[in-house]
Amino acid sequence: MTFVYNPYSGKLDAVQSLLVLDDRYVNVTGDTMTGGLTIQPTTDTLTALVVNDTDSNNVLTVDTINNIVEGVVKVDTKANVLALTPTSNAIAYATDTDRFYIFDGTNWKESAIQLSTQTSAPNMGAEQDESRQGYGSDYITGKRISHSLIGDNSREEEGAIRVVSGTFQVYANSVWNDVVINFRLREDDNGTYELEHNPIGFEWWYEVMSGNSDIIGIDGKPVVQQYSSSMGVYQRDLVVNGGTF
Amino acid sequence: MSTYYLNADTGDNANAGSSASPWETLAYAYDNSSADDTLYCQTSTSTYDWVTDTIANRTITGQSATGVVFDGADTVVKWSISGTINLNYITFQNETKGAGTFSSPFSGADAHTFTVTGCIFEDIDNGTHINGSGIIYSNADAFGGNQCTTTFNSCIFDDVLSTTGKTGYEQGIFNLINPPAASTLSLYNCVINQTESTGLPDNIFVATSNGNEWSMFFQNNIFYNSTGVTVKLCNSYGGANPKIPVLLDHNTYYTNYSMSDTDYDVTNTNNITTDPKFVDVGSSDFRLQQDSPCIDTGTVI
Repeated sequence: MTFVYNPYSGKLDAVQSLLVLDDRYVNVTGDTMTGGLTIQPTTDTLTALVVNDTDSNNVLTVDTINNIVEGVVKVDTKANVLALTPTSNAIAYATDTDRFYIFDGTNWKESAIQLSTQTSAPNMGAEQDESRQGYGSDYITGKRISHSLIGDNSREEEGAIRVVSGTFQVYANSVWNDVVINFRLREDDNGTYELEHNPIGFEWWYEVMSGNSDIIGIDGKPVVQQYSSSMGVYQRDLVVNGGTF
Repeated sequence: MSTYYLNADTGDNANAGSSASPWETLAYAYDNSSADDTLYCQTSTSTYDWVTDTIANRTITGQSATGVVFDGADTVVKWSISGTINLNYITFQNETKGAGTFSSPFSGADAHTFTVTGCIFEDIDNGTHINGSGIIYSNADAFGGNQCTTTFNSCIFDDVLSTTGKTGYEQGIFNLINPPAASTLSLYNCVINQTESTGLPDNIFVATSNGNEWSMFFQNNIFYNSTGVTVKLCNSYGGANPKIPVLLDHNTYYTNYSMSDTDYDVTNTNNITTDPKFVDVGSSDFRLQQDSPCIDTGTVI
């Protein structure tokens, strides 16, 4: 109860609240403070501003000793986070996925980056770019690459790889080396196995040792023999070159 | 994938289709086999009936090209091919389309892969229709828009269009009208022999493009024309936009051949224009004499 002097009656009037005198005064639900609010403790404290729920669980704390705001990020499991329906933008962190989740007012959005626990102890050695997630400033480690492409590569360093004009190459011993592909082991008509090769840029498969094509011509002979062919359908007889009878 | 056997002499469609108990006709074998199966035709004295049929996703292999003969009995034969078709070591002969018939013995359907190896084609009557003539006919306008791959390896085309007269410049042995994009026609190590001037086609390849980019590859072939009448290698029917890339590489042209017209973007390299020196053209013996310029002058495909 507050008493205020009434100059017209010359008496003191009893009023219920200072609200009628100062509209910045906020007391109950529905009150609105007009103007800015500054909280400045006389001594820095861990609890300069504390907001609790009805069960006294802390929701928000402003710490002026460490100068941090605690409780801004909702921390819970992913399922519990996604079950929340904030009334406005919000940010959360899921302990089971180690990812951030942003609520844009309608949907939760998941961050692509997965976080990891860090300690204050530095790494040994000169480089301090170790990452428990496998990504450093100049390396990727402990990962599997899937559904990706290998393109060109101008870095001529040992172990570099690239694909140029359909040829897969590895940089080793100071030169780009072609990686030969398109080999197969095929059972021929005689029931034996042949190692065959389909060179890049060629149509047919060739038995590696003989250089004969797997395409058999109308005369029953490989159309290409010893990596050589005559024009037309009839090929020359195979020639045994070298050796002694 | 299963293999079933046929024999034109001893086969019976009531048999099991095994090697020892072969079927008789291709039509029965086709109807009683499944996609990707092989139909193996044993060497027979009798000819196999070559009748109109739809052939999809089969490999049809002869025991030998000269011992397995499909005879069209001088009637119209039209195989509508689709899917993946392989024809190996078979002689196809005596197919007659007659005047005005719009057909070829092999008409490619949409998205087919048609590979022919070691086969002989002879006495294929071109008829007199301006389209749909020759050995193969493929028309994207009729069959759709997916890629078609047609390849002939080690095949002989022996006076294939010699039975009746021609009527228009459009006729060729191979006719591809507006094939789907990325389609290819390839001939490797084939002999195209033309010794009879009666009914001689004006062209070997007739092709057009209508907005689709597709290509032709011809390597290690011998084109032999002893008629004295000039035959054009490539011609178009109605223009080509874009131009059709044609690789003519390591072939022999002997003689009386003219090169392509302006509708083709031709790469013409490493070719021979001297006599290939067959053993005996008159008896269709296309083996090479010992001093043939074609021996070991082909390229690796």
